[in-house]
Amino acid sequence: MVKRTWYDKIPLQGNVYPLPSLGYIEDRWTRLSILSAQPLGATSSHPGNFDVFLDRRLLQDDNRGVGQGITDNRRTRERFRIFVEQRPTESLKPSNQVQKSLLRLLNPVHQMQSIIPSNQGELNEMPTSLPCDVHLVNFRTNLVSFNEFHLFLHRFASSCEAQCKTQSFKLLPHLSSNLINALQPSVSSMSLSLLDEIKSNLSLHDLSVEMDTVDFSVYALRLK
Amino acid sequence: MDRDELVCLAIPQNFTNWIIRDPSGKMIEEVQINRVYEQRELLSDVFEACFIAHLKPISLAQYTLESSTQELPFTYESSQITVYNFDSIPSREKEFEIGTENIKLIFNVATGSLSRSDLHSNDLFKSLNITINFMTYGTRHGNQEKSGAYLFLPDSQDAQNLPIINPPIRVIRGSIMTYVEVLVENELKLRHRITLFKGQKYFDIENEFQMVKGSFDNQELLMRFTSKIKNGAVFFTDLNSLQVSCLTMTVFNLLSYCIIFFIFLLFTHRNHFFSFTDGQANLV
Repeated sequence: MVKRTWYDKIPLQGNVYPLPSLGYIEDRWTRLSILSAQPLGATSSHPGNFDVFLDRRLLQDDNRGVGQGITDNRRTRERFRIFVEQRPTESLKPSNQVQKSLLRLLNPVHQMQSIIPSNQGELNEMPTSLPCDVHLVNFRTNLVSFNEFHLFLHRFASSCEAQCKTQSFKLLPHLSSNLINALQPSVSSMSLSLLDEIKSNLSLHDLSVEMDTVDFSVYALRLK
Repeated sequence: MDRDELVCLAIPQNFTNWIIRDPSGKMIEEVQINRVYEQRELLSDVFEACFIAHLKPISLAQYTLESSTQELPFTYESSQITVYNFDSIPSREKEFEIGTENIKLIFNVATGSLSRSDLHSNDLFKSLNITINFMTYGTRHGNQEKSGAYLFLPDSQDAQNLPIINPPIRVIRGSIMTYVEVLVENELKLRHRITLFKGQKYFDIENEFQMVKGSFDNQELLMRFTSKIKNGAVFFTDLNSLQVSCLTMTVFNLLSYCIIFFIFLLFTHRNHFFSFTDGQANLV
């Protein structure tokens, strides 16, 4: 999170900041968090206020490269989630509850419909949840070879109250037996861009994921 | 993480004696039935069935909607509907409230806006006076440089209230969710919905609107939260939704909207693989 301050000495437009997904105001006791399902702009123009810019319609170009105004407005649905909570001890981190709720808001459940029923009611590839501050950002095939999968894990910053003791954790208990049986026992640790292999020949069975706060871990898993 | 998600399915009115089964085939007993509206109009041919789906991480769960040949041992509960300002004469009530065990929200009937909010904590209702208002900024007048895609050059230091007088308000109260829908019948056609969920300590806001040609030319629309919180001049925003802070942003002041999209582009390759559901509509 980034601390912003409203300065009276600069005009309003200098005090407006991006609101990619989360903003809050707080005092000693209370924090009001505004979670946004879409990136917008925000400011706090008076004490106790939080302004979220929803949309604009501007007829003229501002000579900054777009070459036109903003006149293509469509009927738009915007979603927000509001939390009021006791202020966590650390100002620069959202509470674990808010962070998890934000992930749910940004990653809605996919609903698919079919008129043909399936005999299998449920398919589950992760028997236990990851530690409470670890986010599985992506698990996808290599774009070149469909034999290789990349697992992206991210550990987000959580205030102390969350008590997520996850400096390191074993990956194996979080994978289903289907996945474990289909995968080669050796995995590689990769850079975020997937261009560099950091460590190869790691054992899937002993793999301990170690991540600092706000850090990523990327693993390459191969099919047998 | 395990997720309990509210799922709502649209069901044709003529489909009767139906049940919803969970992935193990067990009948779901807590289903809330809502009427469906399109702005002011009640849609008579369809209704909405809402229930909580339980999802494990990286899972696909099949919920089945089927017609039952047997008499059902229970009936699904329909939500209660209350309306204000739907007639030509404004409603007499000044305010109304909705609430769960955790949150109580009080709305003003004349403006449709949230006027007070009480939070339940440690057996006490703490009033936080959170209010929500819609406001607008114009742009500079005359021959001065005006707002555009990047520049925000407002006509005043503070925003102007968007006039909303006696808007039609619909309140749906149910066992799983309760919501207030305010229909602002100006050119914006703003549909403002505030939803409370059973057992949750948050509330959701959904706004649907369009800034149309004519009345909203050279306007910026904002939603203002006011509260008793003594934050002084300090507020917090995230840098991107992934809490990754390696990007340098040096010119963000004036570009309140635009830079964010570039940041998001960097991360658009992430797919939503964590959990998903298959709410099967099995019309037999």
